[in-house]
Parts: sequence; structure tokens; C-alpha cells
Amino acid sequence: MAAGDALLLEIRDLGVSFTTDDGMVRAVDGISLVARRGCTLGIVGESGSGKSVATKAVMRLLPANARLDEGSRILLHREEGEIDIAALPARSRELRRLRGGDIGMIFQEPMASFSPVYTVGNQMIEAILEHRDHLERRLGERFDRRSAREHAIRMLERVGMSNPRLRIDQYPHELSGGMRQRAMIAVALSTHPSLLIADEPTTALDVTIQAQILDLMLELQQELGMAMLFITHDMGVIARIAEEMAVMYLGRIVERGPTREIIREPAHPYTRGLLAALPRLDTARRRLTPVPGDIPSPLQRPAGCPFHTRCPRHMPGLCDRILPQDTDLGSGRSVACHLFGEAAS
Amino acid sequence: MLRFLVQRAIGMVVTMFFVSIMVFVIMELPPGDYADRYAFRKFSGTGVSVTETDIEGIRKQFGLDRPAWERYLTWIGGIVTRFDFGPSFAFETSANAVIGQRAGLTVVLLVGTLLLTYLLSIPIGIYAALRRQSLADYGLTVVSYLGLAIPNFMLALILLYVSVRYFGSTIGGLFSPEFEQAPWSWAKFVDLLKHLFVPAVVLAWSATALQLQTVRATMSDELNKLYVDAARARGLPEWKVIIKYPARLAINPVVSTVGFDANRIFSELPIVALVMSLPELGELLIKSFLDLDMYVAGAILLMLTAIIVFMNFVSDVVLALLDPRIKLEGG
Ligand SMILES: Nc1ncnc2c1ncn2[C@@H]1O[C@H](COP(=O)(O)OP(=O)(O)OP(=O)(O)O)[C@@H](O)[C@H]1O
Ligand SMILES: [Mg+2]
Repeated sequence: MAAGDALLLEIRDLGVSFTTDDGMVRAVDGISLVARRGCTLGIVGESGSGKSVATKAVMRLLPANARLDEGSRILLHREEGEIDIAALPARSRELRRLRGGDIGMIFQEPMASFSPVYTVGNQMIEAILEHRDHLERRLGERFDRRSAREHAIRMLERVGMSNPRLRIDQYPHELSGGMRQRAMIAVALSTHPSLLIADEPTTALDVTIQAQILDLMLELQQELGMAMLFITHDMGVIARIAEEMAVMYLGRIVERGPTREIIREPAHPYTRGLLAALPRLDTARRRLTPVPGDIPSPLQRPAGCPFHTRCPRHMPGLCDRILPQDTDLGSGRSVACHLFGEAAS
Repeated sequence: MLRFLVQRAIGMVVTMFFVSIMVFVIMELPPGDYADRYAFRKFSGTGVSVTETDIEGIRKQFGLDRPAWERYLTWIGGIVTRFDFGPSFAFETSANAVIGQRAGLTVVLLVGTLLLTYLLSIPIGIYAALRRQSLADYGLTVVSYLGLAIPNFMLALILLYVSVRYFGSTIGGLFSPEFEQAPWSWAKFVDLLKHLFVPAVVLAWSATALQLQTVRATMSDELNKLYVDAARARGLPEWKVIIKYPARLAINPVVSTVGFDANRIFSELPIVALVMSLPELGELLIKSFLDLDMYVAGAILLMLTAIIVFMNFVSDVVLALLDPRIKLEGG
């Protein structure tokens, strides 16, 4: 598929708040995103910027103390038509068919994503059987217990597990971290989703394994023609895997556009900070320079631009009072910063 | 698995060997022996004067004059080879005959109490964890603290009072009067169950309160684990997610404390049995110590510990079946 413009997932004005004992936490503050079929959208941001919350919202996996804004829309464009995930009842069949069917998800902690008391195969086959109808439409084959097992073994083999016939009957604790993440990918992809959400899938792994897993994911994505929503706080990973990216800060998207353009010429001061923090081969002697300052507590979001407390180009009187709106920079890019808005000109 | 079973079984036998030695030492501990006691009981007030030689004769008659290790070997040999726990001096029959029915009743009460405890605490604990901080959860917490705070004998008395006052029936003893002497029949069996139900409730009360909180706490922990979300993200129905994943792990601590619960029940049983006039072992144990009827005491101690050791064995095996992370080969 030519990097087609076919929309797959469209998030509009997604806002998520948590009620906590300390007050209201505004974790995601009205973000809009699109993911296209067969493409990877990277979301990058520091810890606590709301990346996980936003993606959990797409799967409707938020805990009971979370609330979606009234106007939040999470539109999934399927062949059968468009569906608003945000509006589905929490325990509906529709929602269950999406989870693990149209949308697969892998998590940051490969150890914790498997239950320790069932074999890898058990947890895999369960998902395949749960989505029998979906798989029948996708592959033209209706699985029973036997053939689901064979399918699971093929998937384990596909993600590069040695000796999958043995592995399938092993327990998670018998696999190494990298193997477990491969198994998790196999579980998520065994139902052939059209969208894979990967929440920092490589963060817990060591560097060589990280690279292997990334390669594997890229390969599988092309093979299966699925879209990916790839979350990370590592600019290097984004550069490698995502055609488009969005930079999140304190629950807002501050910059978005084609990855290549943004990396070559970042607009938002925060994006520039993140890129400067990236160790490069040609500047290996330079020390890692993280964006200076601390992220404000989400309980007390700063007025105006959320980043102004740490911004090297902070304009007093403007940035700390007025929330910058998205400014179109052309070629699919936009930035939310007063340096680029009408207010600056 | 077989190796694991054999290992644990051997462990059980070794434990019982040491227990038997300890029990025998306990049997030897009280000052004086049954010969003195027997002479006193038989001849006091009859005007017959008892001499040292008479007592010596009695001692010989009961075999109390032989060295301790010899008596231990005879005793344990009888138990192992013939399941014969020795004589009962006080009742002038065998210890087996004295203990007989009471042992059965004690085991039935124990198993009934454990079943009741787990049937109540596991589902309720899981429910409370799912409805954390709801009215139902707070209510259950209050009830279970009450369960821990109210002493068993008081609960037994209250239940006795209520049943006599409002239902006109006695729940004390084993049978209603009309069945006391009747031959065994279905009706008599049902009557027995009715009588055992209340003591089982009394005994299960505090254990249920405790286990309910354990299950609730473990379940709350497990519910927050990533694998639960991962299961949801695979599209499983919510009930299946809950039952197959966190609930399965939430019962582990309960299983691992079966032996502990059995122990508690044994130590609470005598008081409850006393209040409800049930013929069980604990009460007999105290009596036999008072009478220096040491073979009966020894038999009871041995049986109670054997049951607890066996319960621990069962809990080990079940736990190993429930949790594959427990290495089946290791010790
Ligand atoms: N269950 C919850 N209750 C209250 N606040 C929450 C809850 N879950 C997340 N938050 C808050 O939402 C904000 C965003 O969290 P989120 O996990 O999405 O961050 P993240 O960008 O994924 O960070 P990381 O890189 O560490 O994974 C944080 O400030 C966090 O404290
Ligand atoms: Mg996260």
C-alpha cells in the first residue's frame, strides 16, 4: 500500500482526568492525532507526559477513577464502517471485538504482561479463539483448538523464537526478557490486528535486544500491513521506526509532523531539548544534556503554555498567560508555541 | 510431580517420627504416674491401707516399671503395626475405644469448618476487592473485624440462646433427643448435620473473617497487575479475565495456610465443644491429662498433629499444582 492516506485511527480532542485523593489530575489535555493504515505514528515525551494514558484510552483500559472528556472522539475506520471507541459501553461485545481483534497492544513490561501461572501457549490460544470470527474474515480459516495451537506455533516461529513447539508449553518465567517480549508480540499479532499499539515495548530490554525487537516489529509491520502507534521516550527509536511523530508534554501535543522533517529542523523548544539530549555518534564526546528543569506536577498545571516553566525561550507575559494554539507549518507539520503563532508576529 | 510427592511424603513421615518422640516426652512429664493415681482412686475411703509394694504391683501390671525407651518402642510399635494406641487406664479399656467416635466427629467438624471458611471467604473476598471502597466493601470490612473481635464462645452462646429461644430446638450435643438412641437412618444423619452446622459456623467465623481480608488484599494487588490489563487487551470478557487471572492467584495464600487454619480450629474446638456439649477430642485431651491417662492423651496429641501435618502436605501439593513457579524438583 502506497503510504496511502487511508485513515485508520482518528483521535479528536481526547481529554482524560483522574480523580485522586490529592485532587484532579489532568493527564491528557485535549489531544488530536491520526494514524494511517500501514504507517507508524510515534509518540514521544518524558515520563508522565500522558502517553500511556492516551493509548490506554484507545483500548478503554483506563481505571475506574479516570474520566474521558465529554467531547472526546476515538474513531476507528474499519471496512465495515467507522466506530467511536470512546462512545462504546464499557462491557460491550463491540469493544471486546476491537480489543485484541482490530487493535492489538503490547506493553512495556514483558515479564508482567503474562500471567505467571499459565503457559505462553495458553494465553495465546485463548486470544486466537476469542477472535475466531475476526480471524476467519482476515485469513479465511476458522480455528479450532488444534489449529489455533498450530497458528500460535507459527506465530512464535515468525517472531524468531527458537524451538516454538517447546516454547509454547513453557511458562513465562522460563523465558528470557527478550523472548518474553517476542512472545508478547506474537500474542498481539496472532489475531492480525490492523493497528498495533506498542507502549514502550523495548524500554525494559537491553540495547542489543532492543535493536532486534525493533527490527522485528518493522519487518512484521510491513509484512502484515498494519499501522502502529509506537510510544517511547527515546528520540533515537522514533527516528528509526516512525514515519510521523507527535511530541507530548504534560498531556498536550506540542509538535507533530513527519519524523524526518522534525528531526532535521525541530520547531518547538521542547522538541529541540529532546533532540539535544540524544547522544550521537558524531558528537560522542558531548555529554547527554536532558531538558533542564523538572516536569511540573500534573495536579498544578502551569497557566499558559505548559512548557514555559522550563523553556529557554520563555516570553514573560505571553507564554505564562496564554495557551498557544496549533500553528500550521506546512508539509503536514504543526507546532503549539508562541514563537510561531500569530501572537509572535 | 511423583518425585515431589514422594519427597513431601517422606518429609511427613520424618516429621511424625519427631512428633511422636515429643509426644512421648510430654506423656512422661507430669509428676507421679498412673499407678499412684489408680491406687488412690481405688482404695481411698475404703479403709484399706496401700503400701509401696502394692503400688509397685500396679505399676508392673500396667508395664510402667520398664525403661522409657522400651515403653516408647512398644507404644509406637503398636500404633504403627496394629493401629493400637495402648490402654486407657481411666476407662479400663483401650485408648482406641475411648477416642473412637470422637476422632471421627473431630475430623468431620474440621473438614466442615474448613470448607465453610473457604466457600465463604474466597468469593466474598474477591467480591470485596472488585467493589473496593463501595458501601458493600466497607460493610464487609466491619463485619469481618467484628468476626475477629467476638470470641468464639460468646458467639456459640448467642447462637445457642437464639436457637433455643426462637426456634425451640437445642443445637447442643450431637443429636436431638428422639434420635439419640435411634439406629442410623437418613433422618438421623440430617439431624447430625444440623447439629454440626452451628459449631462449624462458630469455628469458621473468625477464620472466615481473617481469610476474607487476606483474599481481598491479595486480589486487590493482583487486580492492579499488568497481566490483567493485558488479558483485557486480548479481548476476553470481563468475568473471564477476573476468574482466570487475578482470582486464580488470590487463592494461593489461602491454600498455603490450610495447616495453620487447622491448627487454629483445633485450639478453639475445646471451648466451643464445651459450650455446645459436643463430644470431641480436645475436651477429652484435657480430661485425660488431669487423670494422667497418658496413652489416651498421647493418642489424641498424635492424631491432632498428624492431621495438621497432613493438611500442610495437602496445602503444599495443591499450591504446587496451582503455581508452576514452585519448583517441583527442589526440596
Ligand atoms: N490511575 C491513575 N490515577 C491517577 N493519576 C494517574 C493514573 N494513571 C496515570 N496517572 C497520571 O497521569 C499522568 C500521565 O501518566 P502516563 O502513565 O500516561 O505517563 P507516560 O507518558 O506514559 O510516562 P512513562 O514514560 O513514565 O510511561 C501522570 O502524571 C500520572 O501521575
Ligand atoms: Mg507509560
